[in-house]
Amino acid sequence: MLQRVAMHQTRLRVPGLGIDGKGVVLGARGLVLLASVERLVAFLSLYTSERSLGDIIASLKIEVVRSKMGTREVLLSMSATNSEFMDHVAEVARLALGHSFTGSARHFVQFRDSAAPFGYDASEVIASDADYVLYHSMYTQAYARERDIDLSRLLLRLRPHLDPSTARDVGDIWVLAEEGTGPAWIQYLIRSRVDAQVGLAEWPPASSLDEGPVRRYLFHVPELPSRMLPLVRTTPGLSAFRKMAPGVAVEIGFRHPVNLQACPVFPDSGLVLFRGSSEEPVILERLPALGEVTSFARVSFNGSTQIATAQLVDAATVRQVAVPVRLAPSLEGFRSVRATFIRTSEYPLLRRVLYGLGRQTLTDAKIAFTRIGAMLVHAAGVESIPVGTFLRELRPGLYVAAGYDPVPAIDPEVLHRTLGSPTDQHVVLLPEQPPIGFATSSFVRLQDALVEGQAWSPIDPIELEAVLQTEVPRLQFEALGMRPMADVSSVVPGSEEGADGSG
Amino acid sequence: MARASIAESMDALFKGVISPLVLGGQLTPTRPIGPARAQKIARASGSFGAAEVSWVNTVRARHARQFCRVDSIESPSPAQWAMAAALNDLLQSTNPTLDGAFSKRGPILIGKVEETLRAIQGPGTIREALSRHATFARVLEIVRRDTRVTWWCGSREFRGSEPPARLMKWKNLRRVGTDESTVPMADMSAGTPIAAMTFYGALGLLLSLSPLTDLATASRAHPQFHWSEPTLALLAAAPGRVLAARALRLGNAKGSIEAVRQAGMPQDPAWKAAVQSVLDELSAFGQAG
Repeated sequence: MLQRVAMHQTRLRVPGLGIDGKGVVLGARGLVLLASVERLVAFLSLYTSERSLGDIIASLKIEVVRSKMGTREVLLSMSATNSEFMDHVAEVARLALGHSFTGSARHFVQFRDSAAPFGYDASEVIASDADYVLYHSMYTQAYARERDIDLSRLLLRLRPHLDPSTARDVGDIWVLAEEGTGPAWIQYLIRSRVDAQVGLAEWPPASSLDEGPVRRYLFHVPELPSRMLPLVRTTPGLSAFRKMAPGVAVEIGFRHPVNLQACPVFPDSGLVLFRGSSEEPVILERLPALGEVTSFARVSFNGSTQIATAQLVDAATVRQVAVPVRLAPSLEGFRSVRATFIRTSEYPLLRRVLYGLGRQTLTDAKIAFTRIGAMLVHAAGVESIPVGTFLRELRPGLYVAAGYDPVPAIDPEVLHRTLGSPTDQHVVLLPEQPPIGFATSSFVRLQDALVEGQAWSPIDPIELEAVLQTEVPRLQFEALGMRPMADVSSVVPGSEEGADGSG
Repeated sequence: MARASIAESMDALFKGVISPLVLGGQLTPTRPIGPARAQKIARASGSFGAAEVSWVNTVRARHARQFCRVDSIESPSPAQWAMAAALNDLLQSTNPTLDGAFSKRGPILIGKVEETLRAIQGPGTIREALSRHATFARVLEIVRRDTRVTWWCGSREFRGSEPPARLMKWKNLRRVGTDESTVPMADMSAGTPIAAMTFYGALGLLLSLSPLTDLATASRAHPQFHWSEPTLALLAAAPGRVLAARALRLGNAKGSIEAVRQAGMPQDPAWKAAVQSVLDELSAFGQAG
């Protein structure tokens, strides 16, 4: 089914394929087909040992796909920026016993290899509604997407394995202490003059039978003296974790199968602690407030401990200095422009622009229509939709016209509070106009809002399944007649009957 | 009756057993073959050619594609011919015309079936395992239609055959009634001199020689799934484990996984790790994402 592409060849049959500057066949996306989750882990492990997933994480998708015959496989797709990048992906895929492909939307051909330095093109394009049609030199197969695999959840499910080498030069570590051992460990750190920060992490009770929430002390020790490491590793109730990347650490003495430094999937506002010995990882959605351990040192006061309290003024005094918020032109460049306000008079222009928008934009953008106009929100930026007044996002749910700043320059959170902290509204501040609120529930996907009803006519499909439909095997006996066992004999070593069976 | 030549036996075996087993439809086993003749058939299988072979191989490839991307599959191997001969004899052991007035030949024939099967090696390669499954994937789907005819003064049961036309005459006058029932493969020994456990043993032996079929039908009620040497050998290589995981997910996945868990872990630590790897893989597919 596949043909090698020749040097200087420009025409290709498979839609969505192009030729890059080196003459290599390349589509917008690259695919890696892997037979199992085990091999997916192998691929990620191999890839992250050399490169970071940070460059491709935004476009990386991992899906379980299913062929028409029910075979499930794992498909990993990413943006194919250039053929050098895809060469590396293909090499890693080969090592992980996977196959690499390139293409754009639905049809993907095998990526180049040593047999075809300029890549491959299919001699015949298969008409199929499947999500993916893969053309390989050994097979052609259509796959339907079954579900996504979330990378962070996959990483959380992988168990770290023993690696004593990680116990040397541990550097920046986190220590998790059970509630009972925490205070003793704090005092030990103070006595030893080790700089560290401590916080109290809390989890809801595991079941209704527990008395209260689970609490553990969390210590951040930037540099633990090596003499203290055996103590922290062997004391029951203490676990030490080596920081791998912001927001993730692995227990000392263990190594995660995938290089976590190369996987920026865990937010640095939280913390994931991978434990060895088959225990579930500890997940903190956000870091608890951390303070220096020296704050817990025993202190004494000189003289009186009474603190003079400042007297609060009445509300009327505050109003004397209160000012209304205004919008003033800003000299700063546009940034965080994630929405646009489109007046009703600009709708005809919007209709024309919609024809030029890409599929991803139509899928991701959301729009809400009101009597005075529409608000269009696109998290990736609305620069591609040049209609209306661009809006800058100050904070989630609060937008200001691009090119303007609210004055006085108060914190966006404070501004949001002065507007009543509406949680179900997108508030827009426009110059010379009072704030406008768009109900969050009124936003719909742009692609759902824009297309008119299309006329269509049904066409009878060809029943391909029926051609291959098979009946149930049904046993029908015939009379065996006299001496039914006449042909039956055991194998006697050394005695061979004639080839025609007449012996 | 003149004894059929090997070529004639092969033709009857292909048209009567192998082809309907793969394509469906009426399966008419040939006369009992026995271990010695099964080996002759296996040795002569390379020279076999029939018009239906191509279509049978196409549909076999369809069965194989449930597990991996193969666009074609080779014709049945000698081992598969011997297995088909054993299946033929296994089915014939329940044939009501096999037994004579004073002899019960069913149990003897079952013994010969086991002898035939024990002489067959497990699949040496993963491709052979796939090829065997392509041929025997539907072995547990075989059904037999039994008809019980009653009339005013008696009744008679016909297993796997149509009642004679004379019994069906003057239906109203003779008050003729018929009761049809469909008997699945595993229950075919009921009503014969063959003990159910003996029949299950022979059927289980046949299934164990096609490890992918064994795993794909692990949720069956009888014969119960247990780890056999060919099935464990399939798990020795990584591609085999992938196919095994797919086989267990096919059809009643929950039931298959439960059956594997109930079968227990093999004692050998090497096999234990391989089985655990397959169960982990199934668990990952079920829960990841």
